[in-house]
Amino acid sequence: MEKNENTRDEEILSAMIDGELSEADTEKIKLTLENSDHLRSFEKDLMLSRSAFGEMKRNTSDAVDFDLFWKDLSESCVEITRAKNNNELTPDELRKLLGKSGLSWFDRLFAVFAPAAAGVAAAMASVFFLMPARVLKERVIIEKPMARAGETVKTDLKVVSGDKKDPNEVRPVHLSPNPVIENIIESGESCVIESMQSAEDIITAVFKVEDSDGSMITVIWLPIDEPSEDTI
Amino acid sequence: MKDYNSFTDGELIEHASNGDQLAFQYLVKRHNGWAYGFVLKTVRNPEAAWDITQEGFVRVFKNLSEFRQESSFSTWFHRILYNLCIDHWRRTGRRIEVEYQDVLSSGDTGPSGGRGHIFKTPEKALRHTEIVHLLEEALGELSFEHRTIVVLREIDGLSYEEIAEVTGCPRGTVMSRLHHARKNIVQHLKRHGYVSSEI
Repeated sequence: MEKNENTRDEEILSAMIDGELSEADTEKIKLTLENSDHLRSFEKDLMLSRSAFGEMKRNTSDAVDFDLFWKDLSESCVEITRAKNNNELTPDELRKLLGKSGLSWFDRLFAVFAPAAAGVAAAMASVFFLMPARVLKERVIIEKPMARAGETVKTDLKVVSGDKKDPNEVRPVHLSPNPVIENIIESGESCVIESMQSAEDIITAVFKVEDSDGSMITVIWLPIDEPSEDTI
Repeated sequence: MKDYNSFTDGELIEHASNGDQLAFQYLVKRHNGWAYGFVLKTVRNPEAAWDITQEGFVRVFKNLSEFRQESSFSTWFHRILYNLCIDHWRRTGRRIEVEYQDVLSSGDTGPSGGRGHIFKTPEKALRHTEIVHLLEEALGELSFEHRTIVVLREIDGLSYEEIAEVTGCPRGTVMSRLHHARKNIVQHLKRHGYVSSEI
């Protein structure tokens, strides 16, 4: 449908006030404006609208508390960065992730069983003695149940099926967005804590959970000092 | 030491995409204010606006390497936010209008908290509050498409070309919607007794 002439002139006038017209079009609409009471009235309306928006722009009530905003945002960014970097986690990031992914019961278990498991933690001692003091990062490693105590696999998160005959056969998994460790642990009806230890706020633990095929797998959660070369 | 404040948006993005998180933080600091304001005026729900703005920056962070310098960051980010607002609008529909009116009445400006403007006289402060409130009402009566375009123009100061790029509408449609939106806003203001000399 054709727009009526008034509407068209109003649109052009509106564009002129916004500075969106060419010089030639501006001159044309100015001429029309001089001879049109309707258009002059509309120009006042436009000014009314503009002034009102000017008042709104002065209103600072939309201001965002940047610290609060960044705190929320940086948490999301950490997760994205981790996913991009193939699960390289700092201890804080790992704890945050586990807390968010429904594994907070782990912390609770830790609080309950840690004293009783202190003796079993000796099995992990050799691991710690091999670690330099500047342990900064944590990895999650899942090994075969028959893995010797203290034996670690310096790779990113990997899963070895308990039934597989070849102990070297590994299946790479990603911790995000659906951590396999979370799925395995949550699908298991029970969890056997073998050892737990906390040193400088870094949790190290060995526990067993039942895999979906009924086999028991051992989860070793421990700090590793440097990134592995065989990144997944 | 890097002077991030002197960096252009493009430079901040370039540094951020190379893993410089501080550069990204400066980018967020530079743009979070208007971004939240734009989303709030578009979706009219402070909580949703907060979440959408956060999600917008998350998308920026995820796609830093995809930003092309030929477009301004502001336009690119507006487009991301606009699409998120559309998604939100489709999910929630008009019921959020009522919630936002409640928020306006209660004076609660949402999770960020509020800071008022300083006016020389109480009369001016009151008139300012009334006008802003009326304008919020008028924006609420507009369709999503008209409201977005008028906010992009009047609050964020985008050109017609930039609005067309953000919304995916032809320039003529932008011009037409803007005209329609302004006309309705003015009618709302006039219905409540405001004329241009009063503002």
